[in-house]
Amino acid sequence: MAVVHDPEHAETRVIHELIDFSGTDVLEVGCGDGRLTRRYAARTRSVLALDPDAAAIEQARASLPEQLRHTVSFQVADITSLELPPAAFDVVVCSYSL
Amino acid sequence: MNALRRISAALRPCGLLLNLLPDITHRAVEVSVGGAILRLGHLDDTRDIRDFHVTLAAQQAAMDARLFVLERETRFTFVDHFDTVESWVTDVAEHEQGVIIQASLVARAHELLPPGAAGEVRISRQFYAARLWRP
Repeated sequence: MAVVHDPEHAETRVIHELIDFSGTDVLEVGCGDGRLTRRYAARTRSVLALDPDAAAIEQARASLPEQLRHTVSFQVADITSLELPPAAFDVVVCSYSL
Repeated sequence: MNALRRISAALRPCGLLLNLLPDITHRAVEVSVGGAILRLGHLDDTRDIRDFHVTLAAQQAAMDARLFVLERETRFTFVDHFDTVESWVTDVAEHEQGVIIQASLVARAHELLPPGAAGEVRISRQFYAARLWRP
């Protein structure tokens, strides 16, 4: 079985047109298995990616390229109950999660 | 709205919110075979469409509360490519419980893309993307 998500890179193109991720601290809400995270994280200074689904977070961690492991942190969490540091992020990415 | 308040508080002044969600259209089911793309029908994405309206209402409420200012909106097409009809049906069963694919759609897909045939099933969806700014 083989599925390829967005080989046309339409989503990647749009998110980079809308946001300059260079050197930013990013919070991603609803990261799932990290598919979207991997499409922008290389340009950031840091990424905290959240999802309430523990299995998805486990998959996200396993799928993260080695070169991003010092940049990206995945956490099992729900945005409505997590205490976040105030004014800590330059960008918040909400991926089908609000 | 609670989530948007938390997000606003977590952002630095002039920080940006990128909001991505499926648009108010049902996904198109297509088969690509012999260089041609044939549209077979649609999946029932009523739930996602309902969620879109709820999310946009929350976004507007956050803007009305001056938590965010909308800077730009756009839409794009996201396509999932499956090498066989079976891989598509299996993917839906594994990841989208509750989504029912019409038997006629699957049958037609099998006619156009029998096992071993060169081609693919394409599931095409419109997405909405918004860039908002935190004052």
